Amino acid sequence: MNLAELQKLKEKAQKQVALREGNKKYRVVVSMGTSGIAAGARDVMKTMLDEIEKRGLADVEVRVTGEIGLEDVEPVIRVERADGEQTTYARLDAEKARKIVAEHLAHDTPVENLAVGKEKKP
Amino acid sequence: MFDELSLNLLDIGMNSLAAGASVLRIVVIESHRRDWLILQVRDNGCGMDDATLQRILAENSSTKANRKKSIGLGLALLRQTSEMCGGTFHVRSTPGKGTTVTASMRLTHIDRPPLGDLTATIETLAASPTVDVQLHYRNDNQTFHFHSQEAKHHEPSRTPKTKRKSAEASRAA
Amino acid sequence: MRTQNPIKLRPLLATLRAEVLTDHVPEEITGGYCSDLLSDVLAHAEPGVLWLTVQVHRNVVSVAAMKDVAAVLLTCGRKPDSASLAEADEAGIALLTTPLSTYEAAGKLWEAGL
Repeated sequence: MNLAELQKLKEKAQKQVALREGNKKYRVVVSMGTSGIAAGARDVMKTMLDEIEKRGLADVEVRVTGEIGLEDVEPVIRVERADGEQTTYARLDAEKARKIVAEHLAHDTPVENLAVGKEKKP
Repeated sequence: MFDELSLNLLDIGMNSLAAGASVLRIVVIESHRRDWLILQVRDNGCGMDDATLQRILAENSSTKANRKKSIGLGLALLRQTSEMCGGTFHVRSTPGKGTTVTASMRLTHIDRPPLGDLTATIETLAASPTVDVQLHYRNDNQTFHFHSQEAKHHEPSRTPKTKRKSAEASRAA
Repeated sequence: MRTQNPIKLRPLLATLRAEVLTDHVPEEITGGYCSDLLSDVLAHAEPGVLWLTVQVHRNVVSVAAMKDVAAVLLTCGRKPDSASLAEADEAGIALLTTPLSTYEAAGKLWEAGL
């Protein structure tokens, strides 16, 4: 194990904590059950955290959850907007995750060709 | 099995979050001198009674009713890796107190997966703001400790030090 | 790997020198997947395929059932213990064994048009 790598945890955690306070416009929920992890959900999560931090998107929070019933199309994330709009993305990888951050989270434009579901909750 | 042990740790750690833990401690001990790798995930979540634990450990997650759910599969995967790599696997749980999962393996066993990206695992678990995710890592020469809630307290703040102290005191009270 | 046209499994058993260990064997398979890493199978195997592996741990049965694979071909002469076999029967997962290696068995399946 490389300790220098672990040291970075502390710096990163502090930056990410700073991005965590208050009510956010977007909440991203990453499915992190066994199937999701096997399919690469951790990589998707890490890419999103890094990209959100790099772009300084202060109005986004990222959370993990257990299986959400889409085990066959993992990795899966749900992007929830404060007004109740929910978009589900499936079969993700790092590149698609970056695209979702760049278009949906940074510019309010859902990535239609990656979305598998959309609904509005009151 | 996963191709990185840190993915097993993430998988087991997700069980702790589901159990409502507020403290989740991951211990990794890598000793070349003793040829052991020890992995432990300990939480203060809701825990379970012995009957439930035995059922989860004995259960084959493929039974028709729950074939799409991987409850218990994460534990079974880590157990398989430990046993395949000359180690042992234990789960201890107390209702209302929490659960501790301990896996050991021979560090030099030829089939032992690498630890992999432990940082990404901790970062992922620590995204849950209500949980203090702790990492205690030790090898023959060095130790490393990380507490996600500590990062919160060290957050740069505009509040002067003395004021922050009193704010902390009031929070504690 | 998944083909458009499913093929019958029974006529392949002799070529594969495979022995059926469970009570039932599926009619057809839609493709094949070779992997000994269970998380890889969880992530990539398609339903209906024949999974080739040297792993005989009971977790193989769990993963096979989760992914709805048609059958598991245990290669290099591996055989599961009786508990795993009973679990496979219960879950409706067919287990087969062959003395061939994964490489040889996959080659035979490929030649057979899978």
